[in-house]
Amino acid sequence: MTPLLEIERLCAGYGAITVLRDVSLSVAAGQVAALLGANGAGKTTLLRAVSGMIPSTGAIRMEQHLLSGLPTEAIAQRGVAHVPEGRGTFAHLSVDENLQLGAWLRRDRAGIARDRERMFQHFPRLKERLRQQAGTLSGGEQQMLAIARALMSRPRLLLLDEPSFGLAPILVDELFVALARIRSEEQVAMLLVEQNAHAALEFSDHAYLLEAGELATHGSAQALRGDARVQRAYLGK
Amino acid sequence: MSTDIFLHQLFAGLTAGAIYASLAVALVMVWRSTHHLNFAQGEMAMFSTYVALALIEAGLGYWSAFAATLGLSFLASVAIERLIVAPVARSQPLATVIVFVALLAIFHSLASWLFTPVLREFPSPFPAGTLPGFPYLSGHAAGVVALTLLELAAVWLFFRFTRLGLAMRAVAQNPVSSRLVGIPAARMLALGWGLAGALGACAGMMIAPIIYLDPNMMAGVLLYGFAATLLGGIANPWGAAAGGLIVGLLDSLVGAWLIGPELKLSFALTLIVAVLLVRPAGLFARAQRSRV
Repeated sequence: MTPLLEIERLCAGYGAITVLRDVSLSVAAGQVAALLGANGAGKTTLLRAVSGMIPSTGAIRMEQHLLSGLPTEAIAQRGVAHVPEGRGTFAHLSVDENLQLGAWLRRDRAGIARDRERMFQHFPRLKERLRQQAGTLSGGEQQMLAIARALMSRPRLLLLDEPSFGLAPILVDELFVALARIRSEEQVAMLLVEQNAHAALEFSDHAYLLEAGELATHGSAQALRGDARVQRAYLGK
Repeated sequence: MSTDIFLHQLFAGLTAGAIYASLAVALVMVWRSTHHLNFAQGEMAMFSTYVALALIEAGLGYWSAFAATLGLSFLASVAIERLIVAPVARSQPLATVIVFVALLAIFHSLASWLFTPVLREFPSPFPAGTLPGFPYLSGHAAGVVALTLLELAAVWLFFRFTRLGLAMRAVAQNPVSSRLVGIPAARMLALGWGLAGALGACAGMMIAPIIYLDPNMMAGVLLYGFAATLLGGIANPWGAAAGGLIVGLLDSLVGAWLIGPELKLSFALTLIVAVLLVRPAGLFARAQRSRV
């Protein structure tokens, strides 16, 4: 089976600094892949390269179409939705407007309205806060909004950059319950960057471990749970 | 007598304020894409007004010339942003200021060269004389205020209720997230320039019947426009519009009553500096609330 997202020998960085070297990975349709690694290993950089936010060499393909070199907005059009580091909600716009913007690429009003209702099932809190400015939401609510906004484009691939960052443990559990439900109902594949390796491996099918910008190992999430290198990356041993 | 003068100055201030408001909203549109005040906005407006006059002299009716000028100014501004401002800003953000100064000089000399630099009368589309029942309100003044309110309402409705307007607001706030949801951010910024060009052209055509058309027409007006923008808050077009009305009224009333015409410009600007010392983001700045 050909993968949904296929990355071959990706190199990327910022200006003269190369962060990622020769990283290859793939995500199959409907599956969840976790991208693990210590701080500074290049996880966020990889997501940014996929979205065209930074230049890269190598090949990034989505459903066999080359994404490399396309502008960010064209990559969004190819079915990739990115929940960036720091959530990237429109702080001065209302929750409702944030959701509308998520569906900016779509023209099917009825479908958009249905999806909006479904987001309220995934995240009931958003319905209560519909008219509120996004910037006034709590951290957990903003994360929910960021994910819901990304899903409003009906993506085939969701890039999640540390969704649990800064959330209380109880909210992290809640978030992963919601993500599991989204995964089974929305037929969307995910590439998940997480600092919470335990939660990420529990949730994923496959996992990749980055060490200093290079791929150290990969395998089924189950296999990587016991891998010493994963433990080292997160526990500093 | 004082009531007469008051009413006269009130209406004069409102009229000027409406024009400053248009210009201030134009400045906000450009600020959103470049984060600089466009020094050339006034000269672009002056040039548009000359184009309107040329169209009228070529035989077009006033409103056809008006509409054509708005359209041409919109297109020219989009082109300036796409072809000059955006490429320069990409390579060296601070150079934007130089581009603005250059545009100011270019439009100024171009106008002097193409159209003889003498005071020209510019027609008003509104009834001559004063309005029945309002001896201090000329037909032109009432028309300017009404047209500006109409124009600002249209801009507000556009931003509030259209898909394109929402996208433009999103890009002004967070260009990165906008692109992630698929909005072509660069095109939205160019559209903002187009709107600014059209708003400026409207301001030029409205003020020309009052102060005559010449290549220096907008110099003072732009200064008031800057003041209005800063007073109301550069991030917020409606604050800037309100700032325009306040500046117009203050200037007119204070000039007539307190200190005389010689000092009124400095008084208005001093007052604005004073306000900015207390509220640096402007009178109507949105409270920046955010949680992490």
